[in-house]
Amino acid sequence: MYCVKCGVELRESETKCPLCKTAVYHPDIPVDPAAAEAAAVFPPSTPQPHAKVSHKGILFILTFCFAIPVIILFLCDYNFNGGITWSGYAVGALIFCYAVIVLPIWFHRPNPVIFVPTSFAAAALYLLYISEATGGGWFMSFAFWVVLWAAAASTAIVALVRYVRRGYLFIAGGALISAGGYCVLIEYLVNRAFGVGDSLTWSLYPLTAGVLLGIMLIVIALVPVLRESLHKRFFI
Amino acid sequence: MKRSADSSRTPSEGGRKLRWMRLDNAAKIFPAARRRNWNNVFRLSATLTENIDPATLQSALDVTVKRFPSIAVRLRTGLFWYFLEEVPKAPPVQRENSYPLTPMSFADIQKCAFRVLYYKKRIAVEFFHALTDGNGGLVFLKTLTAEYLTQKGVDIPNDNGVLCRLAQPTQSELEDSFQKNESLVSAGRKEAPAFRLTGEKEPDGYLNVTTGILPSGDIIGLARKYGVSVTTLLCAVLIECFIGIQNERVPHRKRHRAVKICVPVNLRKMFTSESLRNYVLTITPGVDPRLGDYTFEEILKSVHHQLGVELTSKQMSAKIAANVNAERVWALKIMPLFIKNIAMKLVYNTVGERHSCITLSNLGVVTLPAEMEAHVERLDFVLGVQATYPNNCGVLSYKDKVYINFIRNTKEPTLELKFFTYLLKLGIRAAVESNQR
Ligand SMILES: [Zn+2]
Repeated sequence: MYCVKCGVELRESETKCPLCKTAVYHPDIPVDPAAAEAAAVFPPSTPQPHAKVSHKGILFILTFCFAIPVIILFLCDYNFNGGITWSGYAVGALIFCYAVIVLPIWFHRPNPVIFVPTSFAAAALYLLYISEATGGGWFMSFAFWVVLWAAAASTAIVALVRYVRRGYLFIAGGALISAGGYCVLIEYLVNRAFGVGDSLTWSLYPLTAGVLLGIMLIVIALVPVLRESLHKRFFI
Repeated sequence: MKRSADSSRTPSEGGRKLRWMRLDNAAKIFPAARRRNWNNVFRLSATLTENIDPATLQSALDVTVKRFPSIAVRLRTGLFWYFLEEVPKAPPVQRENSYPLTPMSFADIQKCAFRVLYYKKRIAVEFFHALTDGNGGLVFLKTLTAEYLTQKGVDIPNDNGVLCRLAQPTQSELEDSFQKNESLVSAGRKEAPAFRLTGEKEPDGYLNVTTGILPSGDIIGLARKYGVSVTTLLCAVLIECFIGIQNERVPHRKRHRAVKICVPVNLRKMFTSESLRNYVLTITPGVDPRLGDYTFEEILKSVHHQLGVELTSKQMSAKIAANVNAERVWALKIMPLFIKNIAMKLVYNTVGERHSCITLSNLGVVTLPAEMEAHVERLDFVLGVQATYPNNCGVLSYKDKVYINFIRNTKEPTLELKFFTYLLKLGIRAAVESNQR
């Protein structure tokens, strides 16, 4: 028998062409799968267990790697100081790293729209701990708002990039403007929480730069002619 | 009726001193280059005229392994090097799986570095490449098959590569011939990276084998018409196919890579060696598509001349010297094995497979004693896939047919389709068979 598409000769073991996957066809001869099976070159395929590195195993090892220093730090601190003093900061940092790096791997397909805000939440908790442990009292007046703004802006950017998948110039423009605004927020909060001063000074420069660049990107995005002429002049 | 060729040997083997040997020069890279689910393996099989009887095959194997102390071995770990140690007894013969060369894990290799399989009328032996090369493996398969047929009552003389199972292994069979034929000057090794064919992997590690069976006369006639060897002809067809695939997949000519074929060369004839261990070197003829379009005749001519330049005993011994000298560096020798492994794996991963698109291994015309030929219908040579490229190609010619075995770990038979349809264009129609699902 010959393959009607690519022309090679087919041995009786084949029910379709192994090269172009065309079914064996002859108008006069009916296809006989039993004969093909009898002529099979290898035993029929049975699903074979395929050795794979277990995803869970890696996670347990990673978790273990984080757990060991945590325990050692606590033990050392307890032995020397009879309680949790400095070890709290180190352990807090480890837990924060774990939440940022390892936690997303626990999910089959980690969605950045979910783990970006959770990472920021972990950061906020860590800062809350430091603020409380040192008696600084700056969490609600300063750190919370800084983290919240950063979390909201990053999550919005990630979500837009992931789900909209176009209009990148708009997203980048918006991100630049919001980064400028972020600087103003930080200076305002620093002034209010720590009493450094009562007027905005340095933050107005990054704000101006961010807003100008952001608006420029948005204008470029809005005017296709401009986009084309820029591409023509600046292509690499 | 059964008759053992080895009835004189006492069955009790307890307390026998196990022979061990160093890995030969070419073999040293294989254990270090291993990956999870991948080892460098190859397979030889013989199809007889009747269904295989596993019990007789087992008893034939028990006899045969004693004649091959360099092949019936397992890989052991020393402090500085791996070494091969005779297996105390032959491994059990197994029924085939749905595909050949199922992963041979490192743990398997440490128990026994080869396996014997049977299915219907076929006996197959799958070797870890550190033991021997295709030609050495062929002697093992021929001798095993001869012993099987002998036990089935067929008288087979010991010639054409069939060894006497009663004889003692000779020193020349066990030697590492690389150590004897090096030149004073080492050949350089610099080469350009080659085009890499990619495709969707079979999710469960399934290996697709597609065999093309061609009439020897047709292909020899065609090679003669062009004034080249069969290997050159097949090599040129493969290059033509890879150029076509690269043109389809990489639109920018400037980003094209060289198309080169890795061709193992049997050194036994060049340097008269009887070694049953690795004694091959590879050369990589090819063309660079960035230089322009090649006609098939141009490719043929180029490959023909490249082989002509490389395939001289002087050029080969310079290549051997480069390999042997590397292994003799004193500072390397005393490194603990695990550090050597890291270094060798790095070398293998960065340069080992980068210089060619596929390996085309041609064992040439295989002959058997006339008494045996009547009982052996067919022989096949299948190479395992490489760690990083999805196809490989093993060729041999037996009786009046050429058997071209393509193996692939991806779903689409891109290369095979191109190859066999190109042969058809050249006027040679292949009969194809496969283990496709
Ligand atoms: Zn077809």
